[in-house]
Amino acid sequence: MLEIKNLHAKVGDTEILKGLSLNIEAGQVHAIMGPNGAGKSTLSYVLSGRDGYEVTAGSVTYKGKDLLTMEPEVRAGEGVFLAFQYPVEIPGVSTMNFLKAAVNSVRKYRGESEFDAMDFLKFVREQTKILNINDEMLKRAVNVGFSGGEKKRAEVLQMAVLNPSFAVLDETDSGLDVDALRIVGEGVTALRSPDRSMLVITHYQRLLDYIVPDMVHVLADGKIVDTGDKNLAIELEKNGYANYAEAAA
Amino acid sequence: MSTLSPISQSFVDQHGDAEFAARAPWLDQLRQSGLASFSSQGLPTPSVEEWKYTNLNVLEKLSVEPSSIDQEIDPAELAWLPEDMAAHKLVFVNGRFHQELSEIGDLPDGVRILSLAEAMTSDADLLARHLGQIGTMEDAPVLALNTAFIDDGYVVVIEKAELDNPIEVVFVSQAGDATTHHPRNLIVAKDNARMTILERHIGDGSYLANHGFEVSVDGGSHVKHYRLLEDSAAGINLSTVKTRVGKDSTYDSFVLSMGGQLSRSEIHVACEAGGAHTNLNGVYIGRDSQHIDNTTLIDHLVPNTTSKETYKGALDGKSRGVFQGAIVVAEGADGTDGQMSNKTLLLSDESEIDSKPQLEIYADDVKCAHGSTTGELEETSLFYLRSRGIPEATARAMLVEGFLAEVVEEGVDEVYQDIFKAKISTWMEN
Ligand SMILES: Nc1ncnc2c1ncn2[C@@H]1O[C@H](COP(=O)(O)OP(=O)(O)O)[C@@H](O)[C@H]1O
Ligand SMILES: [Mg+2]
Repeated sequence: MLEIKNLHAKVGDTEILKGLSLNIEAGQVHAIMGPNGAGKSTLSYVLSGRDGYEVTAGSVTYKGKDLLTMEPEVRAGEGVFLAFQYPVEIPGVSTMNFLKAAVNSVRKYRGESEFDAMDFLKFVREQTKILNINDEMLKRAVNVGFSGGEKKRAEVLQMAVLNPSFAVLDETDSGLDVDALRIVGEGVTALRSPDRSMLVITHYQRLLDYIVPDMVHVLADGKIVDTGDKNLAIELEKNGYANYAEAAA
Repeated sequence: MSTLSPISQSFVDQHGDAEFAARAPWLDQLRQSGLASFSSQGLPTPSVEEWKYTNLNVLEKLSVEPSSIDQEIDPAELAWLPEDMAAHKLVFVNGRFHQELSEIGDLPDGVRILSLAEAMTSDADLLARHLGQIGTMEDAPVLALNTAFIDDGYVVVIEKAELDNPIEVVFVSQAGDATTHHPRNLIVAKDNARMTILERHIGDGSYLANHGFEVSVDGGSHVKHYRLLEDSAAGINLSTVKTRVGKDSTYDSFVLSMGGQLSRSEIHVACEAGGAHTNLNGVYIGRDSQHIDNTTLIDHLVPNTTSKETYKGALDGKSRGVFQGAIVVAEGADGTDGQMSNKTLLLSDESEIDSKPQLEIYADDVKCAHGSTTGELEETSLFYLRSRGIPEATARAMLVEGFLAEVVEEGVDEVYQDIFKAKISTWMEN
């Protein structure tokens, strides 16, 4: 599904990713853990095509295509999705209209018919229940005045309706209380499927109780410094990243 | 007396030849006072602080011949409200009331809606009591010019009544040859009156429409005054709104400025008694070499009055926006709350905004704030939308519309929001 080879990327003049390699098969869920500032969000932005993140070496192949040359909207059409660590507020644009524009854009890209307003409402409501999102929230402007938990649930809703084949979840569990974490965890788990891969960036083992990963990687100083199964996450939670400081240096 | 510029002089000359339909000694006197005031000032030039950014020398290219109605008008071109929205409708063509195109309909007790020309015969006393009562014309030469030519416009007087349906007013400027007209409009609301006016300004060819408004809201009344300025590419639209807000009363103004080669909407609101409140909101969108000026002055004259003002714009091409907003809190006007904000998106390298928010506070215990920002679309927002598959051009349009829609949502009753939002969307698509 996704093959990252020796990826180097810089922001401004600073090199953040320093030779990162990763291979994710279809249907797999990989977790990335790592200290603050390691480059996890940078990786998520490079994969989704944000301006200002310059790839200086390496490659990313997605479904056999060169991902890095695609515009962000093309990547979305091709099935790449990023749940933002800090979802962006869009004043004056209702969540419903935003979702509809997004879904119809990717459907159009994929050669599927666009939804009209009625059909779309039905389609969205199938997804909102499990995420405990009501119609009132859909009327509000995108992320404006949303609580932390609402923002993260809205990200998962976007993932659900956009039907990606590869999703990056950047700390979708951060700042959630136990109930919100369960809702998000169950929401994401429900989206697991044999032809959908996920890269779950997290600090905490607790999300991985819901979304049991096939592999866990440690990202430190712009590189993958360790890889293991789900037990690695449990170990990391206990011992922290101190052991990797040297490996990264 | 200083010598007048040729264009100013031609207005004065034209006045000598003018034949007014509405006649009465007091009205002649009022016109004369307007003329005298205009003659002593002439049209404003950029050397005057309030006109620093808006130059009326474009008027030199216009003839100042008074307008005459000659062309047929297709009523379909005037339509702008949803079909199922009932309204008391008045149409003015080149400043003159157009009976056939208008349909005022039945009115509840306590409501008078008619043309000024008609009011001169049917309600002369009422008119004499209210017209020319608001504000001085010193330092307001454009309003003085309007006053010199008072002859028609709309008159709405509402007392102890609530108007369920909006009043719809369409001002059509029809040029043919370049023309000039000076509609004078009067809104009086008292004793817990409620009403909404939806006003649309359109035209074709080149012309000057110079509107004067006198608004008085008193005794717990609430007036909502929404205007859509959609003048022709060569049209010039000037308007001066002078509003007095009395005890526990509210004046809401919303202006969507999107037409004309030059427009200036100038609004002065005086909060004259405790509990007076005003909401001034506006959206301006310009392209090509349009010039759009929004100038406001809110006077908090007594204790415990409040105001809230938000203007937002998006400027493309070589268009230029002007925002001048002043809040003045008089000595002793404690408990004033005045909030003002102006935000502009520049969509091109060559567009420009001159933004000048201003606070003058002479009282101690007040809560006032103003802010002004100018910028481009945020990269983060644009990336967020694109990462959801929305193509860049669509994403940009959504962001601009969302930015502007906030003001529509803040300033316009929910039932009317779509009228203005749709105008903004259509503009974005072109
Ligand atoms: N826009 C930026 N400009 C400069 N440095 C940045 C920018 N964004 C992130 N960085 C730096 O890149 C490093 C990695 O950041 P990030 O990818 O956000 O880390 P993580 O998500 O792992 O906490 C940090 O040192 C951070 O300060
Ligand atoms: Mg991060």
